[in-house]
Amino acid sequence: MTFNSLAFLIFAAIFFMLWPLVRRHQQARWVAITVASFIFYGWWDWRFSLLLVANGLVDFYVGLGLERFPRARKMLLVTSITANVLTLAIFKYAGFFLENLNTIWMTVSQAIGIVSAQPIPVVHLVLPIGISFYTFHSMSYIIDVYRGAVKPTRHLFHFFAYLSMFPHLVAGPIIRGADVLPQLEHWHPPTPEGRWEGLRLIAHGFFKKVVVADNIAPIVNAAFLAMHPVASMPYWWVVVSLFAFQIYCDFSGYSDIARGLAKWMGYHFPLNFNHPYTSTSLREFWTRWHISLSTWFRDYVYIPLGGSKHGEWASHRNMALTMLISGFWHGASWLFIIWGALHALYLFVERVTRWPARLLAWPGGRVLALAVVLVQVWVAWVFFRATSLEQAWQIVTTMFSVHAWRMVPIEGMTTFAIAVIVVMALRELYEFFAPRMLEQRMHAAIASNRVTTRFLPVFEPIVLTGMLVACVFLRGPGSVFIYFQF
Amino acid sequence: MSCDRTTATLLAAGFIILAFALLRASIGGPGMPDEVFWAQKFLFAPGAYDMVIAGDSRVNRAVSPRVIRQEMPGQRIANYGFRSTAYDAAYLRAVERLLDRDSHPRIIILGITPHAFTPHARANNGFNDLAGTPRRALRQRVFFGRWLYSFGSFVSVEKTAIGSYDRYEFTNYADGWTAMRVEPLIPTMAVPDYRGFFADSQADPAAVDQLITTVRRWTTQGILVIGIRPPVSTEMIAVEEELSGFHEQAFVTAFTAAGGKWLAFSRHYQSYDGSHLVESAAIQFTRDLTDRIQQLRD
Repeated sequence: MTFNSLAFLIFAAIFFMLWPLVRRHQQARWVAITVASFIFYGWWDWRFSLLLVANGLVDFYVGLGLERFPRARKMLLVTSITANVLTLAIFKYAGFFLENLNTIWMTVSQAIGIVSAQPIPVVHLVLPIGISFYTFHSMSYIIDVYRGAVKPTRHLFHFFAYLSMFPHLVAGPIIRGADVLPQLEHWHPPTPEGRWEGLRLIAHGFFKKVVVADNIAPIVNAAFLAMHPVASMPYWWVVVSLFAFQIYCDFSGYSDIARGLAKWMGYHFPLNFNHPYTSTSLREFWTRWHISLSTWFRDYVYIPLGGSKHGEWASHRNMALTMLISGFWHGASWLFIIWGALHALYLFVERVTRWPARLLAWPGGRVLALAVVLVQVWVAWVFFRATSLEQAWQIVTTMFSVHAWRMVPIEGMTTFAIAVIVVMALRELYEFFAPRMLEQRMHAAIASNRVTTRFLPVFEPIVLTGMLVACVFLRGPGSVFIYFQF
Repeated sequence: MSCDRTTATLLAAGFIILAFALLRASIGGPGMPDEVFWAQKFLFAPGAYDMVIAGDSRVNRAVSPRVIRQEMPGQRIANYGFRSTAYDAAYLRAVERLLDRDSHPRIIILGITPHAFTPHARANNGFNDLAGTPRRALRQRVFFGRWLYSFGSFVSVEKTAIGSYDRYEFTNYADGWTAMRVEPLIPTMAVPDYRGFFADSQADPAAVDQLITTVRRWTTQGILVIGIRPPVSTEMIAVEEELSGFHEQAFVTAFTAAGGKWLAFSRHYQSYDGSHLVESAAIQFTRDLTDRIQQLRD
């Protein structure tokens, strides 16, 4: 079930009513989380649960084996990683590989004159929801056990409570065993502040998803589903900007809800998005966008490849490989690989030229650096969202074509959608220009009794109440979270 | 204090939402909300009908089962028209499944539009969208019905209301018909869209053959299969004849050879966009259709 469904509202209400009854007892807590999470996950299709169980069982026992059979550690690690990668390869990438193999096979056959060559039958398996996320949770656990960073759990339900925990199961944040297993072991009741923070995260998350992202979605969908891309430069800059906010609000909204639910349960998930569109370098962007995935790739791909230990060029190569794999992780398509490759290229140019540092030294350089980062990220988003390579190329060339300077109305662009987007853009601009300064002034004003704090405890609840009401009555046409497909 | 703040905020939000929804439900208009309407239509009970009217949105808005029932009391009739529906195998199977095997005569009315045979319709149609939605989700929509609708978003209402029309209202009936009340009538409104469709996507002869084959099978099973061309504006007819790649005369010949009965209508019926009838025209068209069906039955 998705967070933005009636089924989930009922599920969450029941879960949080029963949670106080079981949370004090360790095993009951683990069983409750596991059972609830499998109901949550099996709601889409109960058969998906079987794969999750199989993957989990392999990694649970491999974890135990790593401790018990020190001589077989490497073999066990390879077994676990192979099982996880194979699961992904079969369910997510088999169709892609076969289609590409077919293209090569048919081209070669024609070239060498095999007239009767038949294409290999391509099987498109149903992609189990969240497979990319839970295989990464599982892999991080095994690698951490192998490295000695986490002690393997001996309780099956302890492991499954970590692996399947419903707030993060299908779209992250990608959490590590080292972070969550100890939390699951020693439960602390959520403090009133924790509960309030949970509500804040949940309200903001839902607002970002259902009011912002879902109201932008039809406009973006109409633009990308048009038979022929509109030949207008301003049109595509607006549409791609809309998509940039759509995907940000969609995904960070999910992460916020997940973190808020965890808070209500008494657990803490790390921050996953930190205003990425305020970055003044691509390097900074990747420390703010999908942080749990970026750090996962850093710790389990980039560093094992050698990181920056073996010289500058080896470091560039490792970074490029990591970005390509990251792109491919997002989906079995050349478009995602190109998206990853573009970011690798950006990072390479940035590392070699050190342009952000140079630019920041100029007057107004910070704004210029932000603009340069956003242009690069926007161009890459085109490949992420386009329906074909041809379409992506047409859009990118239109975005930079001075001949396409004509205004074209955007289908579905209502006054409400415009208002939503303006508010979001202002919110990010505020983060970019003034958060610390205003915060400091506010604290100073409160400390010197220049402003009264009497209304502050009332102001935020009113805002959150308004946001929750807006989530119901101003929500956009319902759609699933974008990152479910990954 | 903080603990109370969380609960109080949740309660306040819940109260406001509930109060607003109740207020809305009490002043809401007649008819069925769109989401509920399409879901319940997709879930029409198999084997429960004597007559099924199939086709795309033109059929959905042009044929009223309740008007037919006024002339043919006791008949169980379903309007099974969906947006942009293609006559593909899945849809035809679904249409057939609705008929009660024991009723006599069993009638299927097919609303024939050139667009229904195009790849565009196959790739983008309301029936397949619903077929791709889990049945449980559809049942939930129907079950919670109007109650859920009162929690509906004002943003989607805004989107339904915008357009080139001063008045754009509709009523969805449980039997599958949507009655449209739209002003002013702009009979050329949808024509550019169809020009666009047909520029890239023309009627596929294989899709036509598939329908004819199915009609032949149905008629041999004793089903009375009636073909109609839902009325459209003269501008739309001109575009379809020029660009669609669909040849009505050849189709009618094949259709009748397969045992189907073709009904043509010469009266002019008012369309609000060139493609769909307004309520009054739909009622008139349904009456004319009912007369012709009764003649066939006699």
